[in-house]
Amino acid sequence: MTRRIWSSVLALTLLALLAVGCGAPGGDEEVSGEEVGAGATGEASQPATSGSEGGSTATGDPIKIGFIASTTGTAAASGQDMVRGWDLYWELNGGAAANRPIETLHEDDAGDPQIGLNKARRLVENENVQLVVGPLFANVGYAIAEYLGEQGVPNFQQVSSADDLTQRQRIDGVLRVGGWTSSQTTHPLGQWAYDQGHRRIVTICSDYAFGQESCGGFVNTFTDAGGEIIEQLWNPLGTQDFGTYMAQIQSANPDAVFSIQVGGDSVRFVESWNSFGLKDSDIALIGGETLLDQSLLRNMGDEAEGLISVGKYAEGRDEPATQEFVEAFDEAYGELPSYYAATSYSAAQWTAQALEEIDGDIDDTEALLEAVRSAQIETPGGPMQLDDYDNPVQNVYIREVQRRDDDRLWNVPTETFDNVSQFWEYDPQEFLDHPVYSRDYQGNGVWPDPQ
Amino acid sequence: MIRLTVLAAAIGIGIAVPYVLGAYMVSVLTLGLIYALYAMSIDLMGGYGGLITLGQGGILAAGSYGVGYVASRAAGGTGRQLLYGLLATLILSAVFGVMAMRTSQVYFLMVTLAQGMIVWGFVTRSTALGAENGLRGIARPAAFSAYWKYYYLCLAIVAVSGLLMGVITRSPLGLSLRALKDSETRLRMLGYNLALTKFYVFVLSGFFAGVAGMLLAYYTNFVSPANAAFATSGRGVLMVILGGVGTLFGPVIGAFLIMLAENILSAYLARWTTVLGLVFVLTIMFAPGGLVGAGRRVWRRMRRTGGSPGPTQTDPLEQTRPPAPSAAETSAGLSGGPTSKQT
Repeated sequence: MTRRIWSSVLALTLLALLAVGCGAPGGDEEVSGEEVGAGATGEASQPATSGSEGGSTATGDPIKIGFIASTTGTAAASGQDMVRGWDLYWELNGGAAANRPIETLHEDDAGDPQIGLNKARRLVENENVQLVVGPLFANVGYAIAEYLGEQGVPNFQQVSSADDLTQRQRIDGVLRVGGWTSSQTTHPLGQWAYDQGHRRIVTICSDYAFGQESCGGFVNTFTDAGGEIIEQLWNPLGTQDFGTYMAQIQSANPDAVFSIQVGGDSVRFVESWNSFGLKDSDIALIGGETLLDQSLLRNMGDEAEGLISVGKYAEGRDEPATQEFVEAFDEAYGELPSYYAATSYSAAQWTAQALEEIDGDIDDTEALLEAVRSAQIETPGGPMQLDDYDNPVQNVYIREVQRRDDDRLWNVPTETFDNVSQFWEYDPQEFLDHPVYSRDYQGNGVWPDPQ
Repeated sequence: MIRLTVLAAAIGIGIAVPYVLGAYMVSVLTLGLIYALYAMSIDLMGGYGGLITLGQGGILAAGSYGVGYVASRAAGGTGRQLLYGLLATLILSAVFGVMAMRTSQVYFLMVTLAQGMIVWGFVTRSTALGAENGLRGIARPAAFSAYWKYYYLCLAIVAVSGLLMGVITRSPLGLSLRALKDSETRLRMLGYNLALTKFYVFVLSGFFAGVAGMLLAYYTNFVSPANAAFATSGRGVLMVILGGVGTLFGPVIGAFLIMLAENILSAYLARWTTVLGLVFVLTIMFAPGGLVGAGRRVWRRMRRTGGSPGPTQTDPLEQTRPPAPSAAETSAGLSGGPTSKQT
C-alpha cells in the first residue's frame, strides 16, 4: 500500500515537473511559482550563452552582461520573448557598444526566486558580469535586486513591474530601464474610461500583486474623476472557467468592465467574454496591458478583434521606431513582438546608448548610472526617460485589436497619453505616503485629488 | 562499520569543500545542505513510518516566515528571530499533527497536501507577510555573514540533526514508527497508541523542517510564498525517492543532486527539467531503492563474488527498507512499458 502511494506521489510530482518544464502557451507575468496551467510546448532552445558578438568588429575588451529570464516554467513563452528582444538588438547593431563587444550570459530562473537568486550569484561571483538585466517575475526581481544592490552590481529591470521597486522600497542601483510599474498604465486608463462616459464599472482582476496594483491604479483615478465602482471581482491566478464571473457581470449590468489577467487566464477570459455574448452587448470591455498582449493575440482569433486595452507599447504604432523593430523581429522569428520583447529591446537600446556616452567604461558604476538616468531613448514604445525614482516616464496608449493585411492580430493605438509618470498627476511625495495598492487598498475615496 | 566510514568520509569532504571550491559552488552546496536537512525530515516520517507528506513545504515556510517577520517587520534581533521561527514551526506542526494523526495512507497524503496549500494560501494573501513579493532584508547573524562561515554553520547543524534523526529511528519511538509502517493493525492490537506515535513523529519531523526553513531564510536573505508552494513539498519527496527511501543518508544525496541540477546544469542546458524527469524515471525503474539502495546492492554483489564467504552482513536498515515499487506497478504509472522484474 505504501509502495503504491510512493509511486503515485512520484507520478504526480513528475507530472507537475513536466508541466512546469513544458511551459504555458501564454505569457504569465509575475506568477510566483505555482502552476497556471500548461499546454503547448514552449520552444526552449536558445543557447545558454548567446554569442551576440558574432559579427562584431569591435576590438575592445568584451563587456559581460547577465540576462535573467524565465525561459522554462509557467512563463516560458514570455521569457523567450525577453531573450529574443534583447538578442535582436545586439544582432542588428553589430553586437558591440563603444567599440567593446557585448557578451550576454543567459540564465533561466524557472520562475523561482531562489533559483533566480542563485543564478544572480553565479553571474556575479563566477562570471564577474558587470550588469544584470531582468528578470520577469516581481518576486524574483525583489530577491535579486537586494543581492545585486549589496554587491554593487547595477540591475536593469525591464519587465518585472512591482510598483514598490521604484516607489517605496527602492534599492540603489536598480533601475527600470525600459520597464514600467503595474499602475502606470492604468492611471490614465481610469481617467479615460470616465471621459468615455462610463459611470458604473465592475472590475475583475487577477488576485495577486500585479493584478491588485493594476486594478488599484484604475480604480483610483476613475473614482477621483467621479465614477463609481459597483463591484470588484477577484479571480485566482489560473482560473479555468470564467462562467460564474460573467454571470455576475451580466446581473450587475455596468457601463463597462475593467479586467487585467495574465497568460492563459487572459485567453480564457476573452473567450468567455465572447461566448457569453458580452462582446456584442452594451457593456464595454477595457483591458490592461497583459490582457491583450501580442504574446496572447497569437493564440486568439475573432473573439479578440476590436477589443480595447491600454498599454505602454502597441505593436501597431505607426512610427519608424516601432515599425522598424516590429519588422526586424518578424523577419528574425516569424512572429510579431510582444511587450516582453519590446521592453527587453528597449533595455538593450538604453544600455548601448549609456555605454557609448561613457566610452564603454562600465566599471565606473556611478558614471554608468548617471548616463542611464540622463538618457532620452526613442524606443519601440515611444520616447522614454527615467524619473527621479528610476522608472521611465513614457507614453501610454489606448489600443484596439485589429487584423493586419496578413491576417494576424495586433494592437493599434487609437489615443496616446504622452509622457506619463508612474505617479500620474499626483504629487510623488503625497503618493508615496499612501500604501501600495493591494486588495485592501484600491485608492478609492480617501485618495487626494489630482493637482 | 561501512556506514561509519561513509559518514566520516562525507563529513571530511564537507569540511574540505570551502578550501577547494570557489564562493559560488560553496553557496550552492550550502543550499544543498539545507535541503538535505529538509529531505531528511520528510524521510523520517515517510521512509520509516510510511507517513508520506505532501505539505512539508508549509512547515519549512513557517520557520522561514517566523525569522523573516521579525527581521523585516518587527526589527528584532537574531535571538527573537530564532525564537519566532521555532515557535511558528512548533505551533504549526502541533496543530497540523493533531489534524493528521488519525489518518494514514492516502488520507494522510491528502490531509498534508491540504495543509501545505493552507499555508501557501495564507502567505500569498497576507499583506503583513508581504503577499506574493515576500519579506526582504533578513540579515545573517554577523558572525556567520561570510559565505564560508555560513556553510560551516549549516554543515554543523545538518550533521547534528542527521545524527539526532538517526538516534530517533533507533529509539523505541522509531521502532514503533517502523512497526506502524509494517502493520498498523498489529501495532494497535499490541496496545500502542498509534495517533500519539504519529503526532510525536510529525512534530519532530516538523521541527527539523522548520530548522531547515530558518537556515534557508538566512541563506537567501528573503522569504517568499515559493517556500510554501507545492513545488517545494514535491521537490522534497523527489529528493527522498532519488536518494533512497528510509535511509536518511539517501535524501542527502538526492538533495545535493537536485540542487546541483537546478543551479549548475541549468546554466548549460535549457531543458534541464526534462533531464531531471528522466533521471527520476530511470531511478524508479532500475534503482527503486534510490541511489543508496543501488549502491548497497552493488556493494553486496561485489562482496559475494569477491571471494571471502564470511557471514553476509545484514543491515538493520535493509530489512526495513521499503520494498521497491515493483517494476510493473511503477511503469504502469510512469512509462507504460514492460520492464524486467526486480529480484
